[in-house]
Amino acid sequence: MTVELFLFRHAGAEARTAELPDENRALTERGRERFVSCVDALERLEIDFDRIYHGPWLRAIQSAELLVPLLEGETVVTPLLAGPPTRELIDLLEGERIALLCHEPWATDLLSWLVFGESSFETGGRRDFLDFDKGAVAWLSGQRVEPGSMSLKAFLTPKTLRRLART
Amino acid sequence: MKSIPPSPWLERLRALAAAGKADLNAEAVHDLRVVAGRLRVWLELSGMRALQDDLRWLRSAAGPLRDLDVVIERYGSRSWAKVLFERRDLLLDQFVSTLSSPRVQGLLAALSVLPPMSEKAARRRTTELKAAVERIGAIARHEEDDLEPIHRLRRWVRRLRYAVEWQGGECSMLEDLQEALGEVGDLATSHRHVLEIGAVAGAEADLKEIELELAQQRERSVYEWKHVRRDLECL
Repeated sequence: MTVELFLFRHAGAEARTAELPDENRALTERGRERFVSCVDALERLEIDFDRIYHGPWLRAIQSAELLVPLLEGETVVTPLLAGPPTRELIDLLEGERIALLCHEPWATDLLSWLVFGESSFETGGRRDFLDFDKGAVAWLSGQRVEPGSMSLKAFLTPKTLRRLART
Repeated sequence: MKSIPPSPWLERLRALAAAGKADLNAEAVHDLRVVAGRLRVWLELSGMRALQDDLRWLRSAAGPLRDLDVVIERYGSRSWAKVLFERRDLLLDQFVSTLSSPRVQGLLAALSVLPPMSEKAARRRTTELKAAVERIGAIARHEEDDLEPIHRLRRWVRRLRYAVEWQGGECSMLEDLQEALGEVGDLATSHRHVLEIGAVAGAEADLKEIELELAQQRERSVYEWKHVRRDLECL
C-alpha cells in the first residue's frame, strides 16, 4: 500500500488585527477564488482524497470546504493541526489519499519531519528552504506516514496550479 | 436578512461534552445525540460539508449507549436484563473517553468560529429537504416487509423538522410523525438486543411481544405519514 499525503497551506485570509482573534480570520474573496483554481488544477490531475484533516480555525475550515469536491471519504477536524506537528498527529492519520490543511510554519515543519526525519521546529533548523505560500501543496508519498520515510513527489505552488487550471 | 448562529445548541453540546460519567444518564446521552443532529442540520442549511462527518461520528459514538438505554427503559426490571447494565457501564467508559478526545475538542472549537447561516439559503435547502421527505415517504409506504425505508424516513423527517425549527418555525405534525417512526426504531432496537440475549427465562416471551408490537407500530407510523404528507404543503 502506498500512502499519498497532500500538505496544503490554507487559502488567503483576512489580515491579523488586534480586534480579530486569529482563529476567527475568514478567507478573503481573492484567497477563495485562487484556492478554487488550485482545486480545479488538482481535479485535472485526477487527485482525490479519502480523508481531509483540518484544524478548528476558520480559515482552515473554509479551505477544507473548498477541497470537498475532491473528497471521496470524510473530513476530520483536529486541534493537532493548529500547532506544531506531533507524534499524536501522525498516529491519527488514516487512509491512502490524505489531505492535511496546515498553517505555517507548521506545514514546513511537518514536511521536513516526514521527509528528512527532522522537524525544524524541534531542531531549530532552517525553515526557509521552501516558500510554502497560501494555497501551495506538498505531495508526499510513502509506504506509511512516518517521519523520515516519505518522499517529496512534488511541490506545487499556487501560481503553477492556477496555470494548470487554465490550460 | 436574518442570520442564524449555531448557539444555543452549541452551548448545550459543550456542556454535555464536559459531563462526567455520573452525569451521562439516558437522558443526557439522548440529548447529546439530538444536539449533534441539530447542529448537523445547521451545517447542512449553511451549505457546509466540513464538520458534518465529525458530528455524525460523535452521534454514532453515542449510538450503542442510546440503544441500550432504549432496551433498559422497557425491560430493565427483567431478570435477564442484568447483562444490559453491565454492557452499559463498559460502553459508558468508552464514551467518556471519546468525549475527551481531540476530535471533540476540535469540533467544539470549530463550531464556535463559524459565521451565522443566512436565512435565505436555509429556506432554499429546507424546500429541498421537504421534496426528499416526500420521495422517501412514498417508498416507505409501499415497502411492507422491510423496515429500512421506515428508518430512512425517520432520519429525513428529523432533518426536516430540525431545519424548520432552526428558522424559528414549529412543526408539531413532524414531531408526532418522528415520534411514531421513532417508536418503530426503538422496537427494532429492542428486538435486536433481546434476540442476542437468546433462550433465557422470559426473554423469548418478550421477543414475541416485541414482534407483535413492531408490526402494529409500523402500520401506525405509515398511517401517520399518510396524514402528514398532505399537510407538508404548509411548510
